[in-house]
Amino acid sequence: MSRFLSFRPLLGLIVLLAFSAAVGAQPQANAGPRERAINAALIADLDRRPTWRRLLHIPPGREESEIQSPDFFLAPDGAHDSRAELRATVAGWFDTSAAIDERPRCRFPARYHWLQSRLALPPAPDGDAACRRFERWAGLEDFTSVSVLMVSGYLGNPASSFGHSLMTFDHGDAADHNALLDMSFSFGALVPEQENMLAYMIRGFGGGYEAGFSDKLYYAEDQVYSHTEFRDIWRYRLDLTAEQRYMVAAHMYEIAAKKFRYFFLTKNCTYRMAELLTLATGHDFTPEARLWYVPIELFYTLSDTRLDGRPLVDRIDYVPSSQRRVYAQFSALDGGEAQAVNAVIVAPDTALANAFGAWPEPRQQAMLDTLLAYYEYREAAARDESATGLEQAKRRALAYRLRLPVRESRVALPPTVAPPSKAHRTLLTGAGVTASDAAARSALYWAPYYRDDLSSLSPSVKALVVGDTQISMGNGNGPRLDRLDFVRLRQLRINAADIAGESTLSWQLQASIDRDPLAGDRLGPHGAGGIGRAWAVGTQTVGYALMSSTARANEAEWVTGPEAGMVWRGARLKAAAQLHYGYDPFAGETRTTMAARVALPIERDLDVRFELSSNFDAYSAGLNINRYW
Amino acid sequence: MSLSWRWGGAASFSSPVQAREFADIYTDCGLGAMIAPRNDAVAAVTNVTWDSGTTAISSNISSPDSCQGGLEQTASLIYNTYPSLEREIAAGQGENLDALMTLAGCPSVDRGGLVHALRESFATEVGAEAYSQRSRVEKSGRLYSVFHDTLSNQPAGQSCAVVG
Repeated sequence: MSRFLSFRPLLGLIVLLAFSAAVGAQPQANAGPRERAINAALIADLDRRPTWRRLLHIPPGREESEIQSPDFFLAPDGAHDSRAELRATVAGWFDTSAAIDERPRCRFPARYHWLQSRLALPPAPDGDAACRRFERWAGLEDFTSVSVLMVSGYLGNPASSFGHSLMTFDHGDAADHNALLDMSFSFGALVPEQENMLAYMIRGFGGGYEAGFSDKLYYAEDQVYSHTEFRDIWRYRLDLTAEQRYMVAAHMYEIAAKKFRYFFLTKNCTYRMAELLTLATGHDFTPEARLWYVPIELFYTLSDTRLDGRPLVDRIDYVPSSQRRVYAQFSALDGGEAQAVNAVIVAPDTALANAFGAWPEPRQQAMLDTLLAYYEYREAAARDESATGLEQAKRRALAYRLRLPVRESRVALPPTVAPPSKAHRTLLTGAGVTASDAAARSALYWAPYYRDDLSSLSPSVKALVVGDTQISMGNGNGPRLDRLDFVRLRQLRINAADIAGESTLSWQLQASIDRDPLAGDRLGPHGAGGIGRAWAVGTQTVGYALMSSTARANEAEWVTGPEAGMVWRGARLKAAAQLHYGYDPFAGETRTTMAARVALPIERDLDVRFELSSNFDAYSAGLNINRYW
Repeated sequence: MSLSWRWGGAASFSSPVQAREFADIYTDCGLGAMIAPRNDAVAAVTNVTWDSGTTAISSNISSPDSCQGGLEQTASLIYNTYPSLEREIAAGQGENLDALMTLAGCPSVDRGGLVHALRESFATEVGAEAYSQRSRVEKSGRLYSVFHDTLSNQPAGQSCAVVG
C-alpha cells in the first residue's frame, strides 16, 4: 500500500500529461484564439497544400526544405516538418515579444498573407501595426510592376555562357520612372575568391556552393552587366495583379538573405525566379524534370503565358550594352568627325582645341561625348581605371567638354535588338534523311542547346551549340552515331563603328567526334577553329573571311587555309554558305570544300533545314525537320 | 529644405556642415551595404560572384537606418556609377545623372539650373592636374561634397533637397 501510494504523484502526472496531449490535439470550445487558430490550420491540413510547401521551398516528392538557413524556420524542426512549421507560424501571429519588425508576422509577410486567405485569423495582438521595414524595403507605396531581366550570354565566364536572369521591382509611373533606382534581385552562388576553375566546375555542377538572392538598386547591376561585361539586357515587364505583386515582394523579403544550395544546371538563378513567380501566380513556371534549365527557357514560358486571358508579359524593353552605345555614338558621327575622334584616340596628347575647334559647337559636343564614352568603355574593358594610361587624356576631355554647354539633343542610341525569346527554343529534336555518294539513310537529331548562326538574332552572329547529336540508320545497317558536336561556337563581329584600335576579331571553334562522309566515313575526333574578320553586307547579311583549320584524327588530316562565307537571315528564309581552301601538309595536297545550309521556319519552334557539303568529288546532303522545345 | 527620398529617414540637413561626410558613410556603411540598403539581413549576402564575376564589398553595416537615408543613397550612387556619372555631368545629361537628381528630389523641370551649377563646380574639380591621380573613393568623396554644396546653394524657390 505504502509502496503504491508512493507512486501516486507520478501516476497523476502521467495521466495529466496524457490528458493534456489528447486535449491539445483536438479543437477546444474554450481554447484561446491562438489555440483555435492553430487547430483550425492543422485540421485543414494546410501543411499539405502546394502553396505552403512552396512557401517553405519543399520540392515535390520530398519532405525537407531546400533552404539551409535555420532562421528561415520558426519551429526547431521546421526544415523537415512542414506541419510543425505551420503550427509555429500560426502561433507566431500572436507573438509580441520582439520589436514589431522582428515579429514573425513582419519577418514572413507572404506566409501570413496566404494564411489569412485560408484561415479566419483574428486581429494580431499588436493591432496589425505596420511592418515598416518590409514596406520600406519593397517600396510598396509606389510599387507598380515586376520585371524579369534576361541578360545575354557572356563568354568571359563559362557559368555565364547561357545568360543570366534578374528581377526588379519597378516603382513610380512611366513618366518619371528611372529604372536605375529599382530594387533588383540576383540569385547566385557564394564562390570563394581565387577559386580555381576545376573546383568551380565540380562544385558548381554538384551543388557544392551555397547560394542566395542579393538585393541591390539596379544601378549596381547595370554597372556590372552593361558597363563592365558589355551584355545586352531585355526587360520583360509582367502584367501582375496587385495581389500577385505583393506576394512576389513579400516572399522575396522572406528568402532574400537565406541560403540555398546552387546547382548550375538545374537549381540556378532562373529556377529560383520561376519558383517565385509560381508562388505568386499559381501558374507553374518551374520546369519539368530536365537535364538542365537555361535562363532563356523561363523567358519563352513568360512570353507564351496568358493569365486570366491577358498576356503575362505586357512589354519588353531592350537595354543595350555600353559597348553598343559607344558604337552607336561613333556611327552617328560623319566621316570627318569620326576621323578627328580617332586621331585623338590614337594620339591622346593631341590638343583638343586643335582636334575639334574647327567644328561648330553642337558637333564638338557630339564628338566630345563620343570620346568620353569611348574612354569609359576602354577603362571598363581593362577592369582597371589606371591600366589604360588614359587618365590625363580623359581629364582633358572632361574639362574641354565642361566648357561647352549642355547639348540639346540626346545622344544616339543603338537600334533595338530583338529579344532572344523571339528565336526558337533551344532544345532540338529532329528527323530527316541524309544522302551521300555511298548511301541514303534516315537520321534523328538531338541537341540540348541549339542556337546556331541561322537562329541568332544579334546583328553580329553569335552561335552556341552544345551536344548536337546525329544518329542514322539504313543501308542495311542498324543505328549508328554520325556526329556528336560537344560544342560549336561562332562569333562573327561586324564592324559596327570604325573605332581606332577596336578589335573586330571574329572566330569559330568546334570539338566533335564524327564521320566525314566525304572521306573515310569512320567515326573519330574532329576539331576545327578559325579567326578573321566579318562585315555587314546590307541589313540581313554578314560576310566573313577567316583563316581556319580543321583536323581529323582518323584520316590523319589537318587542313589549314582561308575560309570565306556568308550568313543571310531574311524575314522568312535563312541561309549560310562557306568555301574553304586549305593545304594538308601530311597528305601534301590542297583541298577545297564547300557547304551550304538553308533554314525555313514554319513557326517559331519548328523549321525545315537543308544542308549540302561537297569536296567537288563527292557530296553529302541532308533534309530534316526540327522541333525546338 | 524639403526631404524627398522615398525610403529616407526622418532627419534633414540644411547645410553641408550638417551633412554626413562621405568618408564616414564609406566606413560606417560599407559600399556592399550601400548597394543593398534596405535590408540589413541581405547585406550579409554580398559576395555573390556567380555570373557577375565580381566580388561585392562585404558589409559591416550595424544599423540599417543609419545607411538608408538620402545622403547615403547619393553617396552609394556616386561611388558605384562614378565612371558613367563623370561623363554624364560633362555632357549635362544621362540616366545616372537623372537618378542622382531623382535621389535629390529634383523634379525634372527644376534640374536645368542644378545641372548647370554642378557642371561649373565639377569643372573646377577636373581642372586640377591632380584629378587623374585620385582614387575612385577620393573622386567620389569630392563629387559628393560638390553635389551637396550645389544643392545647398540653390537659389530660393528651388525644390531639390535630400533626406538626411
